[in-house]
Amino acid sequence: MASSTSGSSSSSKVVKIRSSDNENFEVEEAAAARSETIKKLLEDVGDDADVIPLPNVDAKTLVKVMEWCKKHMDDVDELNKEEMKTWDAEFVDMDQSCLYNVLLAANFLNIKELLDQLTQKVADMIKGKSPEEIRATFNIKNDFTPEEEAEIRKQNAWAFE
Amino acid sequence: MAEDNETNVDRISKLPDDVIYHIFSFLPTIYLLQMSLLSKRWRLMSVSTPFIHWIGRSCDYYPFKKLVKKRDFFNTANNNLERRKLHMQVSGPHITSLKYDIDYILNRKDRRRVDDWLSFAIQSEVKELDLRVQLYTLPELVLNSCSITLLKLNQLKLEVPSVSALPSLKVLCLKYVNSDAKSLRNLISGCTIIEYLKLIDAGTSLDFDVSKTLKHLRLKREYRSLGFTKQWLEGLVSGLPLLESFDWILHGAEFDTISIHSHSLKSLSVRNKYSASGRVFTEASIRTPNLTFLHFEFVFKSVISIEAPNLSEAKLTLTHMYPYGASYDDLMHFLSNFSDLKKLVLVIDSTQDFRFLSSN
Repeated sequence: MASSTSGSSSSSKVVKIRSSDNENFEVEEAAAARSETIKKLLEDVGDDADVIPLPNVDAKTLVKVMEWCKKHMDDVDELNKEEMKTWDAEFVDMDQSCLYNVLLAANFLNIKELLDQLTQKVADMIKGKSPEEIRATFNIKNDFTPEEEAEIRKQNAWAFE
Repeated sequence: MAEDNETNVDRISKLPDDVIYHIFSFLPTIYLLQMSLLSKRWRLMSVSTPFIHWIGRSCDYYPFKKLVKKRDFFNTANNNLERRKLHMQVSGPHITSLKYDIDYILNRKDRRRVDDWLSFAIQSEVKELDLRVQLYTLPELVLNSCSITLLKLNQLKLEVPSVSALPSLKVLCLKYVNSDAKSLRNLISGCTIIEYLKLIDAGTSLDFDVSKTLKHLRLKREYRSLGFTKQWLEGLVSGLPLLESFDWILHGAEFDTISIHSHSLKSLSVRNKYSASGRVFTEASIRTPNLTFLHFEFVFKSVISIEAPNLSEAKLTLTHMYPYGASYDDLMHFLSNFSDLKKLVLVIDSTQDFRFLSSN
């Protein structure tokens, strides 16, 4: 019943994955299988698989994603939850461009827990800011016509002034 | 692409719709309304999000200082509802989750507005409903919804005259609800595939049957007692073949002895906090062949017998020995029950009674 926390069980299988920029990686199967997409591909091709190509993820992003997967390979003990939380908080603390790359990769690779952590991180960046601060943080351009803008302001902008 | 100019690029607007909705699921709707002022993309996303979460605060609500008046809150929320209705004529019903967390005192008109929101949500086949509204009676249509999978009620009034019909419900959490034993029984017996049940200060005595599908049970007493008999609880726990975890927090027991016997239980947490008025267990018997995690908080002098051969982790919290007292030998004898564990955490609440521990 109890799983080993070290995760270095002797029988761990290794799978090969390839990034969009043609770099190959060897990863423990248990880590790679945190991705539902990879797990499904592995089931489909079975042991015949040579290298699993991931055309949407570049090497730099893949390294980051696999770092997370390795850390989350085993079930977390009840008593280790706090430690894991701290690790996760440090993990998602990255620059915006990297954050979006990892976010899109987690979405494509279907890693639910990682996707939750990253979307929560973006949500936290939105919280507590005024519309103009949000615009500046994310570089969002105003594409309303002057008429539309006036209409929107009339509807609800008062609440945020 | 323009790699070197990356810091000035708007990448968030180019995220796929599903990812943006996922981000929205962590934000109160007022933030989405704010986002809708930014561009056409965000205007469309905020009106079509399947996650609706309104917070109404009569006190300071940072950073939305203008939204503390009840009238302004309801007007804003209602305008948003109307815009959604218009939008949905195009895209069809689709709400995943509706959260309503308001601390205003509602008059009859306000209550009707909340009714409107709920009936809109039910029509839109809402899956998750999370309501914290004082002195508001849950409308009956919610209790007969085929789509709801999660229902959380906080501070509501619950009147369930006949058995509910919630055939998709898996998670039910009731906190500080105002109810009677019959209503609670009628609600719970209509949840035919329930897996998670949490009751905090349920406001009445507990005497219900729950579907055999239940996997997780949480009972917690905070301010008001959760009244039930020892026989009822013991029968409930041993009669659930799929029950994996049971968390029970009580402040002073209603009875002196307790037996928890379950074949399926993997995680058990019993926290019998000392209370000057209530009693504490003097005897506890745990027979759980598949248990792997145990958290036990108790007055040390209790006689506890544990049969859990698969236990790998335990957290033991010893509280308030006085006036019971305990000897070093007593403690060592008790701890010998846990000699084979992978991990044991021992927390001693009142250090002065256990000064002798430091000598070891």
